[in-house]
Amino acid sequence: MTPTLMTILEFPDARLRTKAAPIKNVSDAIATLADRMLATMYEAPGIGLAATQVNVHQRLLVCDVSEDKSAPLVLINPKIVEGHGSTETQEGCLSVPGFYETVVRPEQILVEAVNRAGEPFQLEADGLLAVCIQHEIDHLDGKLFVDYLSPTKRQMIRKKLLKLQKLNA
Amino acid sequence: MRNFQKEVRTLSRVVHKGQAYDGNDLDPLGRFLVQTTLRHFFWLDLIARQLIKKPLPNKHHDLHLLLILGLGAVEHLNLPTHTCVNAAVETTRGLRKTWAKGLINGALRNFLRSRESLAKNLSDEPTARTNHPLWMIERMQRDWGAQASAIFSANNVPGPMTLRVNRQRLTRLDYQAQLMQLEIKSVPAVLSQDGLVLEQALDVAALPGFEDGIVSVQDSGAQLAALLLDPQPGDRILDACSAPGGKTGHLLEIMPTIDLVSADVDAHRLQRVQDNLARLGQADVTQCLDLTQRQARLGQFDRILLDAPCSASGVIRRHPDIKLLRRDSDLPALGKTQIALLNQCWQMLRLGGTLLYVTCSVFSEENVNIAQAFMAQHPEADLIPLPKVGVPLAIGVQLLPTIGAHDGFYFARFKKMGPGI
Repeated sequence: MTPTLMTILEFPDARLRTKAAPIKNVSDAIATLADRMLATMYEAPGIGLAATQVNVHQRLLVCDVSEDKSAPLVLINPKIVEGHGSTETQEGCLSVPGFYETVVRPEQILVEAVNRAGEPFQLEADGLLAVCIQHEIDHLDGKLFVDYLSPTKRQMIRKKLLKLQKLNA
Repeated sequence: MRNFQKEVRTLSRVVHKGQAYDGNDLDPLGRFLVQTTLRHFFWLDLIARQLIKKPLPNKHHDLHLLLILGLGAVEHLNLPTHTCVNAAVETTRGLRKTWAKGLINGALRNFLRSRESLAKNLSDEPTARTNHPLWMIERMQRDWGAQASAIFSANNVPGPMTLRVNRQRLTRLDYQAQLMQLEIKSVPAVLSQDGLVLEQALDVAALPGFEDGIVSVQDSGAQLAALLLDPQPGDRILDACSAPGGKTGHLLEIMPTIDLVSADVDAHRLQRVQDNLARLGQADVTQCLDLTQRQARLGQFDRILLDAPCSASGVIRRHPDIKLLRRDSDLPALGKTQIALLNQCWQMLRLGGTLLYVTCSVFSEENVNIAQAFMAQHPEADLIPLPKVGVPLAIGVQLLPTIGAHDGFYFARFKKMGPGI
């Protein structure tokens, strides 16, 4: 059975500013949520999605930076324990559709998280995967990539998106 | 006494050598005569063939061109008929073919006597009626159906002289007032807020401030290109095929703070971009580059204007030699270049950046078909809607050449999307 797709919140929706709560018990409901989020992400199409973006305020993110949907990852209660170097990427966001801006972040990271079986694990990531995980963890903290931009630019994006949302409403 | 020797030579370079028209060694009357003759070439040629019963051997093709020019002069020059005939007859001396005096004289006088019936014989001849080659007629009808005949008509009337007023220096209304004081009449262009359409063409030397970069000469449709690219403060911008530099200059006038690279593959034509930049008081931002090849060191751009090489079928009224120079078989090779340029430019465009694809063609094969093929190859290319101008198409818009207004152009505007995170 294909999982039901979820609606992705769009900036400047205030719910995107909610700080997500840690997941105490990795239940079947969490596994189902992860599957629905992966399906929603692939459909978008996207390479990462945080629970916050689908209006679930628990610390869960999914991602897959492969070309052929062959490397889905589920990270529960993710935490960055180490970061090295610095890299510039043109980032976009499913919650800020159509806008891409340069964001600077650590290039390599070490992440601790729990998998869908409830087992803790560590992950070393670099390149696009590192960018993606940091971007999604930001979401869980109520932060968006536009927060890294100048107030003028953020305001311009906000105005343009509001206009589009009004048009599509 | 006036003769048409230089005009014969100029016309011969186009007709027999397949070179682009170059009127540099002609006086204004000569330039007008050759351009007008090129504009009406198909009709004049078929009239000439009726006048000379026995076809001239190849070594006398200059006499055939002379007769065509003589006919063009009689038809279109604002001079007494006998002056035109005498000039044509006189030309045989310069061509060292004085034996043909009688032939040219007789043919032209025959034309004056029986113009009506000679023209009537051609009334069912599509190339004579439209003054376009058959392949263009078929293509225009295939692409534009009932609108094709309006395109032919527009192509056979010289385009108006249109100015672009440098908005950094003054408004077009202020400049219009300046022109008015010199009794030069103009109207604001519809397509461009910077454009003024002159009622009558004149030498640029007569335009106040031309040498100081206050105005440039640019068709109003061409002015739309830089406007549609919509440059923003500080943007890094590539003008990928920039010669002769009209769009490059306009971009810098619209948004002086942009970081512009003005590239063209042709070093000789790039010189004209440099001349234009110097006249506008801008730094030389040109680079001679073949952008069908990867140019890794150029880096990424926020916006790219790609005015791709094309058949130029939308600007025939300004370059009537196109009707004689272009072949239907040129289009596949042009298409390959257009796609190659699009692909390379796309690689240099940042995520979220804008690419404007432009041609001065009215042929679908170079326009909407190319845009369609490009979008099929690049699912990450999203269309940015265009303002309501010209003929809206499945992808992009088409301006058709319009008498008294703009040339023919195609525009499609893409945004580069990336995966959502």
